[in-house]
Amino acid sequence: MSTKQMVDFQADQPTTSAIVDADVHEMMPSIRALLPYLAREWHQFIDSGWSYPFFFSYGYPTEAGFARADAVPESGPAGSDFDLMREQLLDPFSVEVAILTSLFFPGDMRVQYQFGNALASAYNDWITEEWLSRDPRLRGSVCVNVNDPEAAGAEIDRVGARAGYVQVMLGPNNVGYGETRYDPIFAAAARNGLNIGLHPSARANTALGYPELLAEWRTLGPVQHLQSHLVSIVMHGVLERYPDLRVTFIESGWTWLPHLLWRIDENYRSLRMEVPWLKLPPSDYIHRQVRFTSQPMEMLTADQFTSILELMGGDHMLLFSSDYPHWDFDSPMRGFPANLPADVVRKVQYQNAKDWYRL
Amino acid sequence: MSAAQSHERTARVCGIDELGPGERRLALVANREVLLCRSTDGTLYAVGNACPHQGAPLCKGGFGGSTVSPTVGRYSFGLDGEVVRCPWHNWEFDVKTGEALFGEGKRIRTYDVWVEDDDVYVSVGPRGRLGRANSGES
Repeated sequence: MSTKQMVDFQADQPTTSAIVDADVHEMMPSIRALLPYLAREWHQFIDSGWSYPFFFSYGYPTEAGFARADAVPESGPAGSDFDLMREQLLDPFSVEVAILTSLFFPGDMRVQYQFGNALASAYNDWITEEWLSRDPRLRGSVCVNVNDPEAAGAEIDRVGARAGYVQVMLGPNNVGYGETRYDPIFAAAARNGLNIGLHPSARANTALGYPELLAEWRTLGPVQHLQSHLVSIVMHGVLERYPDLRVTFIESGWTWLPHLLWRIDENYRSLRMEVPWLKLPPSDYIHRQVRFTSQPMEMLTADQFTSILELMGGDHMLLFSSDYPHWDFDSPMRGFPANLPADVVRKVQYQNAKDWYRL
Repeated sequence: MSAAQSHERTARVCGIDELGPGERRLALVANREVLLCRSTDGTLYAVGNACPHQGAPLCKGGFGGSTVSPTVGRYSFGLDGEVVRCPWHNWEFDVKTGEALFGEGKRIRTYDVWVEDDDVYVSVGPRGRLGRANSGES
């Protein structure tokens, strides 16, 4: 494609004066970045050479692993260099607010709960010091160890009042977050006026566990895993118990939502007696208290895009996200179908997130 | 389950002593299938026998109470003798109002029912015409 063709193509794309990006990954240069924020007793757990595990067996036949190949600084992994993030994302795309979502889930360890709690606290202190103080456009997500919900609640109380945090981040988990054992996390988020965000990681397995091929996992893993948590949170009544709580499903797709809304309501009609605490059809709770981020976008026509939004409940349901600096990054200029109505673009790329995160 | 045969819009369905608390029976009033229900406290209710979902006969499903919840995560038993449950998809309806327990404006028909001289009467005419709606009083 010639340069001229590319320019013409880009001219057809929706543009916006400012955007809010709901999924930006800041990364540690290495786990050792947390040492200054960790009590001495934990240093020996890391000094031995331990690193944050991904538990991911797939070979990654991509250009730069899960990173955008042009976003890997010389100094460390993609996302670890703020100046590069500013140069590649914040400045060129007029990002008014970037919500940092990390990719650090101590709960993924599944073991050594006190170590996980300490890592979560250290990570929060690290992003407070190293990121949130660096640029007024950045907002943070509270890191918690979901394996110890009481400690997670205490950590939310410890950092929740700090300026700049907008949500509590929950990673994958093979027990549904709606179950009562996780209530201290939702209670603390509600108490501190923070949203909840759910984001997949390599631990987001499919209904069959880990399928043989990475191409299978990428199609199904994040979607099926987070669908399971959405149904869990709604059916167990978390959104009834905390009617002001806001929950965002990040990087797990959204075009599947119409099916899930029909199906969850259908099952509520028949099994209300098992979930008598729900006072509304499940889809009403989702419309009221759940939102979805846009990336990774499938290639949709403008008609498909707006039709699905309508079936989801309206154009308030979707928040733009780029997933910078990962390889499946969506550009706010080029990742959306051409010829979308300007008001839809404005809401999805800006206003919805402004309202949702109270920015 | 016997059904009284009548083309009149009001019909005697049974004697009050033929329908104990917690029991229900099917009646035919003006060719309409009516489910006569008596709650555990003795109150009589008459509702349409067809589920609004796919038309299944409610007389083949359960009649009793169901789970209610005093607070999220807790079960208790309530609405005793006030709930009919469809035999097909388990939709539940409150016989007092006809409304589905899951809401959404789904409902079954409700009819006037009353007792006169120990006989139970049901009218499938307009509700409240006789001023005796949903009462076991004569």
